[in-house]
Amino acid sequence: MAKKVYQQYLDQIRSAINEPNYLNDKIVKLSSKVTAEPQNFLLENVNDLSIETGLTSLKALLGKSSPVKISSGDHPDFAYLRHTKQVKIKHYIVSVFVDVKNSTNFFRKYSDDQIAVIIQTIQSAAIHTCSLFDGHVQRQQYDGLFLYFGGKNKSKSQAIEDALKAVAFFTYFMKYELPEIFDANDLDKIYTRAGIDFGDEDKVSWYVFGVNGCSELTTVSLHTSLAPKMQSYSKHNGIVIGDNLITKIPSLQQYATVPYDGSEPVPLIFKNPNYRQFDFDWQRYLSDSFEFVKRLGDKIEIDYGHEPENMTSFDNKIDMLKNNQAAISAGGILGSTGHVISPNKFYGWQ
Amino acid sequence: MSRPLNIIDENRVEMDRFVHLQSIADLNFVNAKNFSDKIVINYIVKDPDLKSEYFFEVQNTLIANSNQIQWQTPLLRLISPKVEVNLDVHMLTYGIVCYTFPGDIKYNKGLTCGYAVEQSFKWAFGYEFYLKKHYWPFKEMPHGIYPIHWGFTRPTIAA
Repeated sequence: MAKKVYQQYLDQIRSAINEPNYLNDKIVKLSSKVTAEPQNFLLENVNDLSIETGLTSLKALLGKSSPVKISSGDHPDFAYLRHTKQVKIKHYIVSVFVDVKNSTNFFRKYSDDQIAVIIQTIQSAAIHTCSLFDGHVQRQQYDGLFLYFGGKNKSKSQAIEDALKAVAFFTYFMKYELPEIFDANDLDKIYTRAGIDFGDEDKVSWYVFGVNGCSELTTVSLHTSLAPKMQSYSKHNGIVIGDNLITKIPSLQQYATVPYDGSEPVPLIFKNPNYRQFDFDWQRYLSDSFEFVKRLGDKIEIDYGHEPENMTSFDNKIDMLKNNQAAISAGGILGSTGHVISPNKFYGWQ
Repeated sequence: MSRPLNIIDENRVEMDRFVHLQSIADLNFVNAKNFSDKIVINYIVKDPDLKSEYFFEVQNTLIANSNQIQWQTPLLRLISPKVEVNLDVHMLTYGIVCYTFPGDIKYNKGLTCGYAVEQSFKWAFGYEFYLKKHYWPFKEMPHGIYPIHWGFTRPTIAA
């Protein structure tokens, strides 16, 4: 069997399909473990998958060795809003909405327990992939996910690239790896659709919504609202992006085309003021961005033999500059000791 | 017509000159020229991890009149190689790098000649990163309210 990026996830879904009592058996095994602490039986506890175990090969291909944390709930960079007298914060963000379609068909064949494991595993794949690219899980609703990319310590361009790469890899899973299981089981194909948009700081306000005990730190922005709307114009296993992404990174233009609703082009996602949307060629983007993603005609394939590039001294210096840890030696060489480079705190007029 | 300097103004200029020169005192590779009303610094950024060498000039006008202190920000200019105006790499006209551009950065005492030299290293590494990856690697910050006078519209972001 060919190697897969998401092999662990596929194995878990296959087990759920082939073993109707898979979930019960897991719970029995879990409860038989003697532990001093009371054991919870949440799906996440039954789940064998973590970023480290599930995405080992993708992490290796990307050359990422450090542990990855999942960020969810209040966005950590803006959580301080709960403890200040400010009502809102203005800050840019990339909003992403990812939905899994056609999963309703599962109810024709599988028990609730089986569906729970399948959906849980697909959700895990999405959350783990997005976390690998520093995504923040803002909200989940069954098989839908709303995420933010970006924050106080990330450039806008980097946040956009992270969002595109994360969603593109998840879409790769849905398009190339998951269908194998469901095709074999004679079910309608499930697929994903995603919408991504960028709102600059003057277009995004962060507030804490809700009532005491039931509140959420979230954004008010046309571009946050447009992300789910764009998703609905996406093709099967497709990604639709907002014009702002291309304004910010003009090189993305080469991957953008006007989306269609049937035979009708839908260039605008919003009117008065007009705002454009684009179908994003995520396959070409992935193959252009990563040497280990090869193009074969109109398809892509992962080259597992690819050796990740070692972090070069240049990359290290870029990281040092990013983290305000760089210094200049008396002779004029960048390093970690000498004349310390001040953080960029002198910009603007604030 | 400029007014003659009084003793207080002269003291201000000399105090500022001291601060600026002090800020580059530990950088042996720079060549600073000390004029009555300005400091001009020339140097080359040639790090082993950079593909090119970058000739920079930092020019700091010493402002005696406190009403015009905004213009006492060290202007960082790339002399060679020539890089076209490109806001993606934060390059303005005449090789001016936007990091310390006085039309966009509100004056503060941290904007020393040493700060400008530091930023030239950051720019050079950011520029070579951009040539490879097509995006700017560092955090972007909002610009100020002053217009850029040298022939094009004020950009919305700075490096």
